[in-house]
Amino acid sequence: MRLRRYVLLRVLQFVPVTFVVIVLNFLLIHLAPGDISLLLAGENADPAYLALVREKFGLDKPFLEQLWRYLIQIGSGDLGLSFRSRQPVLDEILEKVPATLLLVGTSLTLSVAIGTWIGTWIARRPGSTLDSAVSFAAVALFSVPVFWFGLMLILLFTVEIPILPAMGMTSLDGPRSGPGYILDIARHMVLPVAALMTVSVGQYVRLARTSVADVLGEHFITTVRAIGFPERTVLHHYALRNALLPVVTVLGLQLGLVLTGAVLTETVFSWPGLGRMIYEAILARDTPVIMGAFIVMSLTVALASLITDLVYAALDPRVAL
Amino acid sequence: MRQVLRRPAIALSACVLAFALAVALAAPWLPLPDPTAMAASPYEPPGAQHLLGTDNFGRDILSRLVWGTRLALMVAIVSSLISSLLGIVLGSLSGYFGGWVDGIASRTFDVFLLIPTFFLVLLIVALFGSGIQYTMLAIALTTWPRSARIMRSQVLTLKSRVYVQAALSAGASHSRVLARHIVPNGLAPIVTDGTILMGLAILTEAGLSFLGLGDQNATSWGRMIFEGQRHLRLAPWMSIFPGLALLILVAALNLLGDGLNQALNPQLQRQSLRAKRHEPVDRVHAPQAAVPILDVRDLRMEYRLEAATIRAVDGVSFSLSAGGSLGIVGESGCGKSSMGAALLQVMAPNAAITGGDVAFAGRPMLADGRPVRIDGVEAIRAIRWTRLSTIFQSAINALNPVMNVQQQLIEAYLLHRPEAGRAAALARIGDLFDVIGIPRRRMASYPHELSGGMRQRVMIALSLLHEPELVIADEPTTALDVLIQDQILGEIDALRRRLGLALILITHDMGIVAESCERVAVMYAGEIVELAPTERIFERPGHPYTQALIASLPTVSGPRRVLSALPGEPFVPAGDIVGCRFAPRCRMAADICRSTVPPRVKTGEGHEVLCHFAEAAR
Amino acid sequence: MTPLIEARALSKHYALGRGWLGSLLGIGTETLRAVDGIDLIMKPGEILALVGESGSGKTTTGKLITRQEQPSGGTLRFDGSDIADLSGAALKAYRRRVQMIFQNPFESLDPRHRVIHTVAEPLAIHGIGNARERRDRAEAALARVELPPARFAERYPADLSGGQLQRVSIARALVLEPKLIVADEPVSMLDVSVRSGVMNLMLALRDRTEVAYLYITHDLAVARYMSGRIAVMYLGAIVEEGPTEDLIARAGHPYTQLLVAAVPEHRPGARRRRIRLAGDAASVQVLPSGCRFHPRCPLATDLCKTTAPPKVSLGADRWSACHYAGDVVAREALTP
Repeated sequence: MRLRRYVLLRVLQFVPVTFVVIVLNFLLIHLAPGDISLLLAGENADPAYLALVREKFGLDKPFLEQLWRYLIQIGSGDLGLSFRSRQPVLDEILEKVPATLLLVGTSLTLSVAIGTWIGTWIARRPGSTLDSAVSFAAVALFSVPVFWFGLMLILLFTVEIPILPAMGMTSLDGPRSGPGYILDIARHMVLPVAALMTVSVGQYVRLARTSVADVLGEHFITTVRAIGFPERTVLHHYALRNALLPVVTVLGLQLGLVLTGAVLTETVFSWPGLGRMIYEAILARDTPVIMGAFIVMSLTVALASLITDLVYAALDPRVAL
Repeated sequence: MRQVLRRPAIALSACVLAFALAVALAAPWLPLPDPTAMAASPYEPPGAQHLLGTDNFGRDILSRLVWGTRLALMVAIVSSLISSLLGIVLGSLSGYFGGWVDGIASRTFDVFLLIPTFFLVLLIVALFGSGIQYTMLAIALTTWPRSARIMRSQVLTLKSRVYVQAALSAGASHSRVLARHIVPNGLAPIVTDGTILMGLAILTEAGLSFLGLGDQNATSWGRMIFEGQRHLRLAPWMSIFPGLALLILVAALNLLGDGLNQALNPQLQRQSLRAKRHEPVDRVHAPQAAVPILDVRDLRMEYRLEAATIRAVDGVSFSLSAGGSLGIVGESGCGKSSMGAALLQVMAPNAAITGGDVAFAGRPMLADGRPVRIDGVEAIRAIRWTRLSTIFQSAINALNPVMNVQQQLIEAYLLHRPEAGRAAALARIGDLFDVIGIPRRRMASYPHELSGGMRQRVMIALSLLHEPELVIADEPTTALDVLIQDQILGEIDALRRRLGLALILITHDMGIVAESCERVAVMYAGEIVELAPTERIFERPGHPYTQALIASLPTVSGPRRVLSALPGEPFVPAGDIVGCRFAPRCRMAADICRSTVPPRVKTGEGHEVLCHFAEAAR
Repeated sequence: MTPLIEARALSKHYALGRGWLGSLLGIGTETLRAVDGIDLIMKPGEILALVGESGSGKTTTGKLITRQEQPSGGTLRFDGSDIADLSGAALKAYRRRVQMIFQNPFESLDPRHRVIHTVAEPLAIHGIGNARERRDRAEAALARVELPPARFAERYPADLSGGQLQRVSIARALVLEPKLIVADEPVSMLDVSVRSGVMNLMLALRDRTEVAYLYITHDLAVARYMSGRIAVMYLGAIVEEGPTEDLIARAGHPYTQLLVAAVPEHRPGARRRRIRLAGDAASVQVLPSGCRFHPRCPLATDLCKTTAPPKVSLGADRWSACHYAGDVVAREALTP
């Protein structure tokens, strides 16, 4: 009952987020210098398409009606046409999602797993030299500019010691199916995943360390120790579950930063995903694609936050709205 | 402040930042070539002429790096300043006035917080063109909800602070309270987060420039890397150095924020204090007949704090026979709870047992301050919860908040009786709940769903799970309402008699021990200053402290008399201690008390007093 | 003589929401009757103890009288004039005459202000005197609470102990020379050995300044030591009122009797008989029907379950809200 109401209310909160994102987009278009129809259609669009866009968005209508039409338009999933490919923006974006998902998913899973493991491990030795060293390194890691780090990896592993590929997702002359294909992709993934993972792992080390140490200081841990549970059980069975709650929250909140990292990483490694697409759209001033990407990215982050909140609610019985 | 600067990470990053700031301000006057002049030959590697080499246009990289510092710092300062100011104002108003203002405002923060900064900046720059002013504004506009949220939660905490209520009830206006009491006290985390925001702003601008959306007219590190990317093989120094500069500056900002956060948060500080503990010592167990259930000799325990080491338990001795009850009374900080923790050998990380012997039913648990191991297993393990258990104070988190009560009890039962099975555990828990007076239907509740009294009953049921011989109850009723407190004490007392338990009751309330314990030990500053049978200690208290405590308590029966008041403040046992610890507050103190440690005087059957004037005190 | 405080049917109800969306969708809004129609009269210079457990509404009553909260019903007069709806300058003027001492001494003072600044702040708020005069008056107030200004004026709260902090709070309350001080559990968070010192100080100051105290506490023994009259609160209502000694010796309400019996005796062997109560205190959110104490009362009858008890007079200045008040007083103790 409690959980059902929570889920309902939390899902309802998705509506204002969507609304704000679309309205923000709309306002920016109107505030921007230049012809709105050109922004919506893309520069150098042919006159027929321009006229269609003017008609569709009611650009000769009053401001509020324009807003209304825009909301309906975007809300129904019509993000317009890419001015380069003449394809619907949404299709173009969806087509690129798998590659980005592969990159982001792999690196995120690795950095959360490795980060939490290291963080938990040093949380048992607070104040030690090792703790200080790891904490220092963790802070330093999330200060690394990911695009630069990617370049350095290329410099090291492709230029100086040429053992790994630095461009794209597959080799031009590689196999197109079977285990060889998978291996080829895996080889191409090593450097971009390493770059993305390195800059985000520090975050999770810090977080896990603090929150495990926090939980270990709580009264109920003293209780279970006094009961006689061995230290391993205290840590893994009692402390870790409570300590992972903040990690879940941060996971949702930080997705925006992770996606930012993905865009920059894909640019460096010419990875054929969303980031690469956005980069090319920027070079070509393909505004419909940039706007579409903004909307999709924002809603993805909102969705991730929704999911993590629901996971949190399932893990922590104290949650109520 | 001095303490803050003593931390190496803070000192180091402050130096880096000061250097960066100096370089940025002094850039026009430094003996460097024009950063835009294509004067030298291109692709020149680092050397004497150009320390960091030249780029594809023959521009000096060191000079461009220095000028890039200006841009990075400007972006960082301007955008985080706008963002923080906006956040402080909106967050304060939202948190302070609450109600629907807060409802709308805080939802707005939440929504804006979900908008990914970088993509909005991308969009803004793509629509408005790539001027540095747009970049800074866009960063500020997407990061302010972060500051606002922090400020709001600060204000929410601070506005319920008593000094704020005090100022309001003295007639202060809202603006006065906000300006004088709330905002100044709430700024610290904003400042901390501000440094992290600065790092984020620098990285965002660099990322933007790297994508080619930076200000075309400015020298930016991101743009340098962007240009260097195309010449990675030919001139790697073009991208290496600006990246390093970025890394160092952002890391300095993040380390500063992290360090400040730690320095300003005493809880995080305490986490990292650890006391050195003794290694266990091996013993062979030789059973003895007719011994006390607990025998404590000269027990010592210390806390390591930042400023000093506190001798929380300083040479405590007593023994307790099977089925007996001992009350340990003292004020907060006298070491009574630390002693309980030392007996169970569950202590905070910054605490360590430093001396003494403890034997449980003749088995040594602690020898000369070292945990005893019998047959390779720590002796305390063999008795924890099966023979010796504890009832903790009814803190909300004395039980695991995310696990239901029944599950916690089952696990504790199965830990020591793994062969019994879940059904047996459930049956035992059900019986205990009946005894303690918890309806069985509440078994599957979570701790937060129970009232304080119910939670305390669950703690009692937990302690009785394996029918122990000795229970240590540490302030079992503090924080409960008077009537519930009375009930729970009654239940503990009845159970003790029925089950033949021995009980150590740790409390600050003389009245509670008067009713529930056969003997009383009064603790002051880490020592037992008086130990006597309960009747005797109330009739003929031998120590001036005990006398003062009894005389300072109001009563509901008997004639109303003027209460005596003890002067001064409790003694903190640290450093070199000369003479009697109670002497500064004692009405009888003489020269000998200030110079000589008092002896332990036997003044009657089972009555010891730690006082030079034990006989005369009455 | 005009009463200092005169409250009639004074109430404070809070609407409990379910968050903004919940209230928007109309999901469950309950009313919390923190204070539910109490009558209270205080004479100038008297000490009245308001006794009750957590959730009894005693703290809210204090906040209503200091006008930190606005009453939701009833009348509230101070020195004859209505103060229930004061606002703006009139409210500020009222605050000069009524001050408050809070429970937690460690949060009572702004950690960034020196002691002298904290004590002088009420004077600054009301624009009394110049800086010099304010300092003199603050120093005098510190001296009155036995904190020598030479040693304490320039210190910060972090350097003081709990007892000293509470003395500073008392000095701050006194500096405006108020007619009434509402003290909310002022010693409950202090060490036992310094409590009596603070209580004695408060009593001595009353004798010198003729200030009245509304002393809020959960501890009947403390109430007995401090007050001339006691009002016992339970779930938002006053259930019994009377002169301190008489009320404790001959309690006229079962709840008062239980409270008296729950105070531990500081004499060994004086083992009291405990009465097993049914469950924990009910919540103000779901008030029981009839007498609000009936679910826990060992004497409850069917009448108690259906009908709210009237105020039964038990002599001059004494009454109890119990159908069987007369019988209750006559009993030795509450032992069935």
